[in-house]
Amino acid sequence: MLDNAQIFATIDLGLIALDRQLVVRGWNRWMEIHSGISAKDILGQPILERYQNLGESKYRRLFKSVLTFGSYAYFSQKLHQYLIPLKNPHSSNVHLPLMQQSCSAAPLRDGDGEITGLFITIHDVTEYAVYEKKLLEMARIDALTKAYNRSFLDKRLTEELERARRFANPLSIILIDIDFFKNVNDTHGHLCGDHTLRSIASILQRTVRTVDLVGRYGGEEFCCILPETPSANACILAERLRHEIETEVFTFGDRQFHITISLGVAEYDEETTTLEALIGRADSALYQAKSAGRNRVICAGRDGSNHATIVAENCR
Amino acid sequence: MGDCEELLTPLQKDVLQEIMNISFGQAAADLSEVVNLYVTLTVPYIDLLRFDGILPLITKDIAGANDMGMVKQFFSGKFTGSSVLIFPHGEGKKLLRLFDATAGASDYDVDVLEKEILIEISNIIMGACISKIAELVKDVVSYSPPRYYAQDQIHNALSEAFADKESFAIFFKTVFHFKEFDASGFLFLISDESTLEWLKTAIEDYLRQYT
Repeated sequence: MLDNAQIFATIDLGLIALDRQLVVRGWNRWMEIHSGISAKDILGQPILERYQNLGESKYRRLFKSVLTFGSYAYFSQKLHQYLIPLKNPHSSNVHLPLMQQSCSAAPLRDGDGEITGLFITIHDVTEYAVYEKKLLEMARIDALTKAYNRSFLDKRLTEELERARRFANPLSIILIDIDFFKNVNDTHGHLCGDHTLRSIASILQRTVRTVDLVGRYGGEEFCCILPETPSANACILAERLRHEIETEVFTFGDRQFHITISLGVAEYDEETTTLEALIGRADSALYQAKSAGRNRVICAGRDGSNHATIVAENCR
Repeated sequence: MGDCEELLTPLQKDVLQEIMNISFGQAAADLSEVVNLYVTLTVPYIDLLRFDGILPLITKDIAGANDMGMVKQFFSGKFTGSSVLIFPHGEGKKLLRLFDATAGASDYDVDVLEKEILIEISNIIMGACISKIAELVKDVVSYSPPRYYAQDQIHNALSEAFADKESFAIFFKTVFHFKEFDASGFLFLISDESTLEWLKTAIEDYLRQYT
């Protein structure tokens, strides 16, 4: 038994034993270090007194399934982040104050096989969670502009279309193309072009609502996904975006210049049910904005025709 | 299946069916209590068959669905075998709300969350069903960690587990349904021949209560 006690004390895992009333019967050294609570202070105390969060239904379910069924239970970091709120002991604590945990629980039985309590293991997976978050970001974010990338936009737009269909909510998108962007590259160089793309992405991001998504759709094309937004409101936003860019003075080194954008707006409806169809309509509106002289918003009409927005007309 | 008929007498098979009916009834009640939701389990289908007959039985049920998630777990006690839980794709997503998880609030894709939820919920459902059977026949069972298989891995995993075996299996099937979420899935329990002798004794013991 002495050997087992050594393992209990030195293992790099949090180990907690609870009885059926969830009173703490075991608290290993790892738990002492990470919680700041010594075993002598917590043994004999109901764990809910120290950690009220364990009274929530998802935690109760974990305990109940172990105590009722005698099964081994898992508690996923991806779903729950942590079981016992403990400080993140790593340098990532600036962004992530609490330790990310992967936990399991299993029954403790007496000689007759009766379940007398349970034990919990806590595995610190903070570092994995941080790496995973970085990888996920890399897969979603356009490295140059820090806006979402095309594949993520397509994925989210498919999900939003599904949601709009299911709940009969409006959904609009805005396709944006920078006017005469080739001139920026040719006149001021590609570094300046990159800088301009970054600046435009950041203006778009700060102008849309937090629920909207802004992504880089192609070389000098951006796309905004506007959930629960009818095209009339999308046109107002599109016009604001156009105005923000038009009035911005772009600077790169000692150079100053102006940029304009053309925008095509389309709203999801019964006939535009696929991602391709919706993008296609916005693209056709954008094409019309370009051919009508650029620096304007065109809204794709329900009947297939496109029209300049009233707001845009008034602002001109 | 002439050989199989000899393994259990019709009376033994009836008793086994009754044990399962009671177990699954109690399991549903306990499940509802643990997950705080109304869960129904259909009356279990029981069969004795050769191992190589298992795969066609399972695939018959999931024939229409080529997009599925499966969780497999072993249990061992005197009652030993493997349990396989199969969810048609999308059923797990319906359970996101049960776990207070929403795709928007998380860094993870819905598919990743669905997988995690299926593992957690499978573990609970399997635990409920198996522990009730074990309880009724006075056994204590322990479980291996659940493993998740997606889509095309499923058929390989199933064929690997149930092919080329000469021995017999006891096969149980139930359909569970979370009413509030309109989410359903299949649970299969497959126990091998080694359990049979013990199971017969357990059946005799159980019968003795009534004689």
